[in-house]
Amino acid sequence: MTTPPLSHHVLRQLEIKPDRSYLTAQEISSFGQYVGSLADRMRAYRQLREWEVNLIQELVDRLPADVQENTAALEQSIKQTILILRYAALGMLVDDVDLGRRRLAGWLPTMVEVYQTAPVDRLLHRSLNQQLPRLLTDTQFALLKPPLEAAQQLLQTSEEPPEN
Amino acid sequence: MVLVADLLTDTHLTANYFATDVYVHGTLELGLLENRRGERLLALPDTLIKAIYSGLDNETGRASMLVLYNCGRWWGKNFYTRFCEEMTDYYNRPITSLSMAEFLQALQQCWLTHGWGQISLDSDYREQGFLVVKVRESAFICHAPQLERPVGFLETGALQAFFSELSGQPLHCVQTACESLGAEENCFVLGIKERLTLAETGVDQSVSHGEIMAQLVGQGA
Repeated sequence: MTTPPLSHHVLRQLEIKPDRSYLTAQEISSFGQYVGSLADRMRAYRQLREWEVNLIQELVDRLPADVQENTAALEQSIKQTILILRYAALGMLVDDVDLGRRRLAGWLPTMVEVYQTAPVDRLLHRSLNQQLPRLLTDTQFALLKPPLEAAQQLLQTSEEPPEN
Repeated sequence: MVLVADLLTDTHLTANYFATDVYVHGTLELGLLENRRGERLLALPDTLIKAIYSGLDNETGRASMLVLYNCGRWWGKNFYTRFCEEMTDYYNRPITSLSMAEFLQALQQCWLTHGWGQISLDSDYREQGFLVVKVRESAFICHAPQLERPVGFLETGALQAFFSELSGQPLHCVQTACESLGAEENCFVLGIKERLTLAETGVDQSVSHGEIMAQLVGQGA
């Protein structure tokens, strides 16, 4: 059995330290970077929250007609995409890159298999990844990208090589 | 045409209800561990599980297997009720409307999060009227006394009661492979009692899981 990686969640790291000593200079500096980026994280989070429905609808509308016909797979894939984006947004806000991957790991791969959503997922996420940099600033997207990619990795089943 | 807004009329999307870091909470100032509905959870020390086994063995001898099996049945029946309640609340629809895969995923994650091991179902024998449940890394079997036979008495009872409730008919359960005997995983066969007699004889004669399944399937032919 593999041990789950410890969360690098910056606040959690700070929380467990006080009985040992003050933070090291390096830790203070990385916390400073997080605090410095917090305004951007908040802004990006608000945007995503506000755009959720329109953004996803736009991705759905662009799907080819034949994909739209398989309603069950499409609806499930949409829900999965919304969840991934919500977890990624929250992971970005609290600096917990693995949040989505941790919460969805035991669930998402099963759903992908059962509802056969892989082809729709691929299209939706490709277009999501293209769309997000247009909506967010470079800095904001750079903050969102790691937790988003970590969660999206769960969509790749073992047979499929990861896409570039 | 699928409208995203329609899918989000209830903004609560269901996902991994039993995800470990969300399911287990603590109200530590009151000394409580709780699940996400605020129901109490307990962490059982390994040594207590061992002590239960040895205490039962001292007091009741061979009957301890039956005691554990009956405790398991009680556990399984109540676990089923609670599991269904939690699922129904979370999904906001009757549990019978969940797909088998969703139900199974929840059961697997639930088993994992409670630390009972990894459970999986093998439905290859469904047409013949048998269901095989496999459990790896069982916490209860790991501390059970070593006997010349499978020792998952608690789980045998629990799975029997759980799947009887689920299927709405009285099922019987026989453990045919055990981690304590060097098997890779614990195998439990569920089916109607009369049709499992061969399995019970097989276990007594240390016949392997594979052979027992072949015999069970062959008996109808």
